[in-house]
Amino acid sequence: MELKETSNKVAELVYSGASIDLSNELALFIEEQQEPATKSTEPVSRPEKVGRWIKDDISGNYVKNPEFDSEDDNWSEVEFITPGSEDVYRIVLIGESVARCTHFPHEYCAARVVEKMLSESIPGRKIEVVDLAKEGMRFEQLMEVISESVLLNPDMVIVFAGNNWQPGSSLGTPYNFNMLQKTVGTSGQTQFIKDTLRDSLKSNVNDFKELLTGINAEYNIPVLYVMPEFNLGGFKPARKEYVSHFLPGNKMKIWSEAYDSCLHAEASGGWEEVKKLAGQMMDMDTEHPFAYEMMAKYFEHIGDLRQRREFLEQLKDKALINAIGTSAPRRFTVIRELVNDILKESPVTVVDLQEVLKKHSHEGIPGNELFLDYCHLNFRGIHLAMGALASQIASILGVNIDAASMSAIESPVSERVLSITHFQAAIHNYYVGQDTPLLYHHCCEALKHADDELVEAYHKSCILFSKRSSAVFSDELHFLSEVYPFENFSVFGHPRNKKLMFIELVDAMTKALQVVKKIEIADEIKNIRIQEYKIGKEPVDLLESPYAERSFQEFLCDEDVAYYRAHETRSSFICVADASENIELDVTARIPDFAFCDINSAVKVYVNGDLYETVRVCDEWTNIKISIKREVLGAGVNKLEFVWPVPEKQVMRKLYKTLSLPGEIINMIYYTFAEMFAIRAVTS
Amino acid sequence: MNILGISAFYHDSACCLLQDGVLINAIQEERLTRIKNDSSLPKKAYRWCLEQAHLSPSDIDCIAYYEDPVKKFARQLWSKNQNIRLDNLADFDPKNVEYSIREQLGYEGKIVFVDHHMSHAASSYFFSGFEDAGILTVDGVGEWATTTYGRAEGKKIDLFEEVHFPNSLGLLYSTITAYLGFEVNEGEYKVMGLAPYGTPHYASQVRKLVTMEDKGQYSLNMEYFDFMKGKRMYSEKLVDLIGVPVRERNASLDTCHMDIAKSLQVVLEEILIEKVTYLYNEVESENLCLAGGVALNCVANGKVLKNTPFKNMFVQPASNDSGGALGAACQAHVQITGERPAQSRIHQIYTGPSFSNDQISVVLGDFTKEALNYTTNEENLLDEVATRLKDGKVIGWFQGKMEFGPRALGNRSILADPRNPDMRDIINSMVKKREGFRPFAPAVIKEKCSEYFELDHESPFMLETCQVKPGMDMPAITHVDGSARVQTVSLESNPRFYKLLSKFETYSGVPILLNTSFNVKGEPIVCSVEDALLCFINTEIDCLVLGGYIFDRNEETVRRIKKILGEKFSTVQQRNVNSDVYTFA
Repeated sequence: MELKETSNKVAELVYSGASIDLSNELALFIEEQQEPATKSTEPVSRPEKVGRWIKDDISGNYVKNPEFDSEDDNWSEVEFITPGSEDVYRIVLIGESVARCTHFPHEYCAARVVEKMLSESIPGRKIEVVDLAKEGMRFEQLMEVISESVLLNPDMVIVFAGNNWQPGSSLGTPYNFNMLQKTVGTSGQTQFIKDTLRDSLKSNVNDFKELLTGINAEYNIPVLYVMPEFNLGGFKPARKEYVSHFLPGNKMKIWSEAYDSCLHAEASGGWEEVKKLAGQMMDMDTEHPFAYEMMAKYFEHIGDLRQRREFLEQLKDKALINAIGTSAPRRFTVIRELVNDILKESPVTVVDLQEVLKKHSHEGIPGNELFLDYCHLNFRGIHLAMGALASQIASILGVNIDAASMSAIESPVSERVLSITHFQAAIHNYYVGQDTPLLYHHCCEALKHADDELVEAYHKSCILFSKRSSAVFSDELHFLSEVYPFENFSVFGHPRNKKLMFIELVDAMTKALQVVKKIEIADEIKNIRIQEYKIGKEPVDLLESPYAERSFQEFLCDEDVAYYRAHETRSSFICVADASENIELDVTARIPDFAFCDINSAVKVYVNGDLYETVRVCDEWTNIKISIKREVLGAGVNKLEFVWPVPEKQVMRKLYKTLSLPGEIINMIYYTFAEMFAIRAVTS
Repeated sequence: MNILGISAFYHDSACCLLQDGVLINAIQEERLTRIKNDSSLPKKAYRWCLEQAHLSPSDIDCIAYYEDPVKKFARQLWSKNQNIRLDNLADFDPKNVEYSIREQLGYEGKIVFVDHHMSHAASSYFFSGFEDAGILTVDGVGEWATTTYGRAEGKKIDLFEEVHFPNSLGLLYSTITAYLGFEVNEGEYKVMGLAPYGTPHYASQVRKLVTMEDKGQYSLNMEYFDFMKGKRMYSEKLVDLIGVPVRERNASLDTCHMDIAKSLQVVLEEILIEKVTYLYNEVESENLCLAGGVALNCVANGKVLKNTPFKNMFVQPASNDSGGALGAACQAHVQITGERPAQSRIHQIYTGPSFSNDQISVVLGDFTKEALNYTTNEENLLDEVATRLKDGKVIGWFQGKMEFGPRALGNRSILADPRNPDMRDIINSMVKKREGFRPFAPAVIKEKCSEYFELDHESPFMLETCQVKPGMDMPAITHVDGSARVQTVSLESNPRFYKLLSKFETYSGVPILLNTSFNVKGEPIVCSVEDALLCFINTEIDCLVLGGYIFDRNEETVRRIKKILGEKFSTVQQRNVNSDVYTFA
């Protein structure tokens, strides 16, 4: 057969769905088409580099490598690193953003804090700690930098990492992709994903151990690993992580009823009922965070702190598959288990921050008293963690100083730095989908440490955030550019053409200004919002920027598909009105499993918490017109909520195997209650 | 009848809406994602097209896709695409295109697949206004075809002959583009612009790369090409044949490089003239329609019209793959309705987003006070802009609906005085930040065109070159060989731009402006107000005109903003990812 004919035949066969049963002849054809792999025999010469620094042959120092200029903000600002000297004990500290002390100024970092502790507590010895930490250091780069770090002739290697060990890419292999597809809709779906991710993590941790023990053996130097901890008490899953999964039969219906009942039981103080319902929900959907959150609340209520911690840990770990690759970084429990298991027989010394911080935490559960966000430590948290590390280092050097004494050696920062640190934490927590209480906490802390100029800066930030125009063109930004440290200035940035409304963040600061400083800006903010975002005669789509987003990681119609998918029974949107006119909504939506919903089921539309209308939507795109009377609208931000019907039963959804990214693959297991193409709003 | 045309998954993905046979809107995905040559399924463009027409997916009668995925897959198999293996065959499943459309666009209705070159052919013929025509499509590769010959009459297009991969004039051009150190799929324009500086000393070597055959056929001498292996375009044998080392990217451009470019251009023109003459002899028409990436070679287009028997020519302004979306939609319209779409010739291609003065003001925010406000006085606005142009200022001109296709035609343009001898260097280096040899095109009032250029017909899409008439001193738009790539502007097609040209004539005596696309090297043409402002700040453009607002460059303001931008303030969209988002991890 002619090659072209054969190619055409194979293409037709694959198109017809016969790809898995290709005849031997055709399979051979495809294999024959492949060129034999050739390996390069030329030796690869590697530049002598360590992280973002590269060896300067003239001075012998490691100087900044221009290739890494785009990562400049992520590394230490040190211009060059010397090759080391005989009379100085050199420690290299490699790590992620926690080691860089994110939210603090560059010069305040784990390396400097621990260096000061060691220098002051062991006065007779010259000790330096080389800072090789980088914000956003992924596992692969971490391994690279660890390998490279020996070029600096260290006397000790410390690795402080584990928050960025996301194993999601392992799901992208063809084998796992196919397996994943086979499990979708079965009881084994989440177990397969978790097993695959665990296998991938296990492989990584084994490689990590091999590398560390190899360095220990080859260079005969001590190697320490600092295992990070998570803000269990203060950080909640982002809203995007509250997703329902495919549940066979009528389980989704039962689960949803239990959800409503559980909320009701909590509100009425029926804690035993909460426990019962949460348990049932967990049995049905092992990965939905809600049940774990309720269980943790129950055990908090009855004072069982061990059990509370257990469920908070599980709540944290739901991000492993619920927001894969996009969740706030964290050290998953499975990583700790693997590290403890794999490293226990190795010469690597482990400093486990879970153990270190437990005794300094409120009721043994670390929270906002130690953290600024999910994993980045605050001033106290850094000193406690580094105190434990410094004590361990001292012990290796033959000096016994306990962690508490080490922690007491402070690297002080100014009130201004503390204030800005909390303000940035507030912004960052907003970006990663945290609710008002945490934002308010940091806004209050920022104001408590603020001088008058910073108070004014925060006030102007609220105006800047509330305006619709790109921040670059706002007068407030230029004021801020004069008073705010430039190295932290990027917090005011945003993607092009995508300014957010920052509602919860600005509301939190508005309240904090009123409570802490007795400054009233609520009316000013409300007026700006009405002026800038009010629905008018020109239609706007509430699914589009700037109405849709509440953080840069939660654009509604920006990623995998051209429409919004509701993975929860409720979808909330906001619209801004001056309440002088009615608002006409033109909604395009569909309910994929409408055929399995009750014949009388309808979509409930709530305006500002009150049921306003019920509308019918079917499994095809349906255009619905809703007229919202001005009487039910408030001047300012109004909340629209769509409550979708829950199907009586679920069947396997139609799958299109076109997705390639792990996040997209995981999306396939989320249940979709409804899809929306547009919510056009206009005044009548 | 609402038909959406889509091109995707190679480069220049795009979406358009054809309503009852009339083109309503069209946009390339790159303009919205800000990823140059974005090839992904045009999700944003799709949303935009529907939103602008107040339609939902259920209002679409058909989605027309510009390629046949099965044939394309067959060609990929045949050409030993090294990415295809038995264990990942599913990734190349031709059904994936349909699945993507269903899944990612939320569309359940009819999908029509139109062959790649039929899409190109339809995109040209149906917008040409011709009752009949001969059609030539030439590009790198579609499914199997790389060149097709067709005849069209009424609503019917018959592509009666094809040249098949790997024999491809597009790939020949791209190979030499790579040889000369430019990026494939990006640098072909540069080679065309470089050619007039050279002499065709290497024409005999280039001719050896192609064997001319009977009828419309030709073949590449594959010993000189290596693109089948997917690693590089040319083989070592080509290096031996040419006898000049391959130019490294960003290395200096020497005479030999210019000569190679010229040789390629000459040979391409020879081949096209021969094959178009063949086409003429096969079809009974005086009209020629061109499409496909090679039809963007405006130098060759002019030679083809001049040196073949065809009397009239139409070139699709979006001749690259983005235009395939238009052609696919037109062909689907014929299939479904039995009627011909787009009865008359298209005279303008302003089919993209526009922004009212109120919308501009909202985006500008506090920056509005830095502007001169002429929103209610167009006459004064044009006076002010024309005066600045006459005084040698470089203007960023952002008006009305954005153009579709690779050319800026007066709505997302950088404008300047064509008489200024330094202007080309100024704009190339300080504004566009690109190679100094690259020429700029003139926009001229349609009625005055023949006074300045050897051109006797309209050229509204800047797709033909012609000679500048002797004695006309316009160094900024006159190429080294005395040619220019002319855009004729009519009052009907673009009233404000036409009036600006008239006003400039009042002040300067010349109804011509240098017109180049409003972007910098490596970025798509600006689409939104924010895009335009950031481009203005990051270049040396003297003055930005956004609708009715004029911003004169205030160095203090620009310095202040640049300082902020320089401090890692997120603004510029990176390729493929939203990595300008502030983030920690």
